This record gives sequence, structure tokens and C-alpha cells, in this order.
Amino acid sequence: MFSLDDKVAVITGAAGGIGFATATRFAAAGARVVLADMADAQAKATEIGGIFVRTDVSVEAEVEALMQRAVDEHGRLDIAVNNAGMMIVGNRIMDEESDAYRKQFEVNVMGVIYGIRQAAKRMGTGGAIVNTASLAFQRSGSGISGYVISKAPIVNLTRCAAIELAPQGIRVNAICPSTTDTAMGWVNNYARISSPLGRVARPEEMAAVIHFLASDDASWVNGEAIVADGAIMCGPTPALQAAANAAE
Amino acid sequence: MTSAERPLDGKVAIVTGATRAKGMGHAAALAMARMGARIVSTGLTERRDDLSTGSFHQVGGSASRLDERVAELRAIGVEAIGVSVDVAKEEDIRRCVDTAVETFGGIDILFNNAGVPTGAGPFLDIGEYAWDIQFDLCIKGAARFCQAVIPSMRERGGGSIINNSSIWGVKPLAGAGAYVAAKAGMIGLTKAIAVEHGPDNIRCNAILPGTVVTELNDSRVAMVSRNEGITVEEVRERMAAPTSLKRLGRPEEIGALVAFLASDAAGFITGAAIPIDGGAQNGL
Repeated sequence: MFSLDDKVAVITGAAGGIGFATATRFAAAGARVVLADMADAQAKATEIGGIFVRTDVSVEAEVEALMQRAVDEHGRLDIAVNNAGMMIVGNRIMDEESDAYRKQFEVNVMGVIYGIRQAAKRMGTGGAIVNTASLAFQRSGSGISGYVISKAPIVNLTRCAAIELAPQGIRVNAICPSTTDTAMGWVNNYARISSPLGRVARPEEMAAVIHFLASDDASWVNGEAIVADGAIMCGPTPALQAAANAAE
Repeated sequence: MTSAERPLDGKVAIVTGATRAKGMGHAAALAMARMGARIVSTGLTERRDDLSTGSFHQVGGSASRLDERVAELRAIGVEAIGVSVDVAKEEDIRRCVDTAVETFGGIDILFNNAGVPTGAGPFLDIGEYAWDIQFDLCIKGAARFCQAVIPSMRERGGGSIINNSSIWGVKPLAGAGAYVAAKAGMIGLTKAIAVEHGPDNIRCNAILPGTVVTELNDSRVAMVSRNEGITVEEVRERMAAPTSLKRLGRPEEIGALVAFLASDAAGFITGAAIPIDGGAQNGL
């Protein structure tokens, strides 16, 4: 089950973290992978038998070139993982000078729109698209409003895309990771004890969810945002309560 | 995970409500068996006419039907046993769990799938009996099963529980009030267990299937067809209309999600309620 044999997959934001874990897992499941990132991932791509295309997802022409490269190289495109994203911490509403909102919107939202559009154009009569949203679609925080409001729309966008692209046989889903042990992740003790599992997520665990959604076995899952949060949203953990009471 | 790998090798899974050839329980059992799990399939082998809804659906079946399912699982090349269980009876649950532990040494996975459509009809007509049945079977049955397996899971360093709720638990359909309430309750039960037993490395998730082509749904389709004088194809088309994929789900698609949630690949998914409904009713 969950085989990706003969599938051609593009993964953005694939130089590290969830993106690279996804590319690695896809390759192991039989897919031919195309890794995209702003940072150089040539060596990493070669290591897992894939190719690398340097891409800024906020520029549609670059996304178009990326998706076309996958088709030129492998003759088809079956899976697109719109995973590239950025988080600017310390982005405060009262800061009038900041262009953090615009920057994050261009990468996190427009980047996904370009990814969906340019991939779907090349998917023929079927495919799977997975977008990396965030638990931030339900949960907010101080100093990350630009991130929160650029991740939440990915969930809504995913639903719209699922409806619009269903006639073409393309499924569109999202994942909503909580804090994950990556360079971007905001790993600290608070993040760890927020989950009853007492830890943050591993990138491989997000890759596994993306893998499931991308596989044909998920053929009845469409327009969904899968929350992979180690039960953080279920409520405060005993460890979190104890820490808060100890600080009293 | 390639098709050749067996990520559930060595794991033991209990599946309730697994007697129907065309059902989510058996489909999940098959999917997990293909991934290497040893299976304990359970089902109501005694017919219970008191749970059946007129001519709509007959609840309970024969022991031979469970035997057939177990034979199909063994044909995949895994060990499997069948245990007759009425999830409304605590002694049945206890006996099932004891049998699983004695036979396979412990339990790693539980799929609480058993359910009944009892009590369908207008809200004002739902009687005491239908309320009791829905809550006894769906919620209490699932909760009791969780209580029975968690000690064994804890002993083995963790486990995965999957509760079969319904998309109706969050997006209700008119005319199924008791069922909807019980299915919504299963989501709360799922989250409560996830929070309390996360520290034991026990994950607990709910799945929310939309309309799936099962024997149960076939009965419903036939009933609607009879009542409204339209063909079964027309009924199915109507049921598929709210989905973005414009079709009904297949049991094996539900089985794939259950098998995924059962596996370590879903290691950070807990306390989630995952819709699997073909993109149903997502439009504004």
C-alpha cells in the first residue's frame, strides 16, 4: 500500500525540514522527485536520486519553469507538494514600517496559488496536490500575525481548489503541522509540553502524512486539512497546567 | 513506505463490526493485514432484531459470516482470529481482549467501528430506546473497548486507537438525530483519550467518513429507492452530489486511512477528527 511507483513529484521548500523529509520518503516509495528551494539542494537531491531546481515560489514564472522541468525530465507530473513557506517572528501589528505581511503573503499564499495552478495545468487527467498549511490556521500567537494570516488561507484555498479541480481528477489537500523539529520550527519547552506526547513533531512524521495524502490510497480524501498536532488542540496538557501553576 | 514493506509487522489489531464483506471494518482489517498486522476481527454473530430498523437494516448475523472474513484475512498470509462480540455487553469486550492477549500476546491497535443506524427518522420521533441504543453501542461500547485495551497498549509502550465517527458528527443530516449525537460524542471521546493517554504514547483519532458503498448503505439506498419510487442509481447519484469527486466512497478507501493512522507513519497525529468524505459539503 501507499506505493508511489512511477509517480513524478515536485516538492517545494525541499532543501530541509518537512520538504526534504517528504522528498526522501517519496523517493523511497518509488517516486521520481524534483526538489525546489531558494537554498541550494543540489547535493541533497542527488543523494536521493532526484533533481533540483532553484525556485522562488513567489515568482510565478519560476514556479512555471519548475513544473515544466518536471514534465520535460520525466514526461509527466502526478504530485505537487506546495510546502515552501516562511515565518517572520516579531512581526507586530503596531509596527507601521514592516513589510513582513506582504512578504509572507507573497510566499505563503501566492506561492501556493502559483504551485496549484502551474502543477494542475500539467497534470492531465489526474493528480494529487498537498499544501503545507499550519496549526496556525486555528491557533494564534503574539508577534507572528503575518505568518498566521498567511497560513490560514491555505486551508480555505485548498477547499476551493479541491472543488475546482475535482472534474480534472485532481485531489487537493492540506496538512496543518504543529511545531516541527526543523530550522523554521520554534522548538522550545512550551511547544514540547503543549502536546500530551511531550515532544514536538519530527519532519518525517509530517512527510508520512503528506505521503499518505499524495498516494492513490487516499483517493477519497479531498479538500481536507489534516491536523497533525500531537493532540495540542484537544486542550491543555497536565504538564502545561503544572508549569503554569508552578509559575504562580 | 513501499508496497513491499510491512509497516505493521508484529502488531496486533482488534477491529469491531467486521463481519460484512462490504464494510469499513473488514476493509480496515484487510488493509492492516496487508501491512503485516495480526488481526482480531469481531462482530455481532447473534441476530438482534431489536436493533434493526424495520425493513431497513438487519443487525447481527451468523457466525459463519465472521468465519468467512477471518478466512479472507488468513489468505493474505497473516494470523487472524474471529471473536463474537456484542459491544453493548461488557463481558463480551473483556472476553475479546483476554482472547487477543492470550492468542497474540497483547494489543497495539483498536478500530472501534461497530455501529448501528437505529433511530433514523424525524427528531421528534426518536424514542428512549433509540437514544439508549446509540449511546450504549456507539459511545459506551467504544469507550469500554478503549478502557479494556489501554492497559495492554501501555504495557507494550504505546498504541493506536481509531474511532469510526461520521461526517454527520460535524455536518449533520436531518433525520438521524440520535446517530448524529452519538457520532459527535465519539469525537469528544477521542480527544479526551488522546489528551489523557498521550503520555503513554497511545494515540487516539477519529475518522469521519462520508457516504460509503457498504452493505449498510446499500440497505439505505434500497429503502430510499422504495420509499420515493426512484431507481437505486438515482439515490446514489443524489448521495454523491455534495461531494467534490461526485461519487460515493469505497470501503477500501476508509481501510487505507485506518491502516495509515494505525501505523507509526502517523506518529504525531492524535486527537484528530479526519474527514474522509470525497470533499463533501466543503462549498460555501
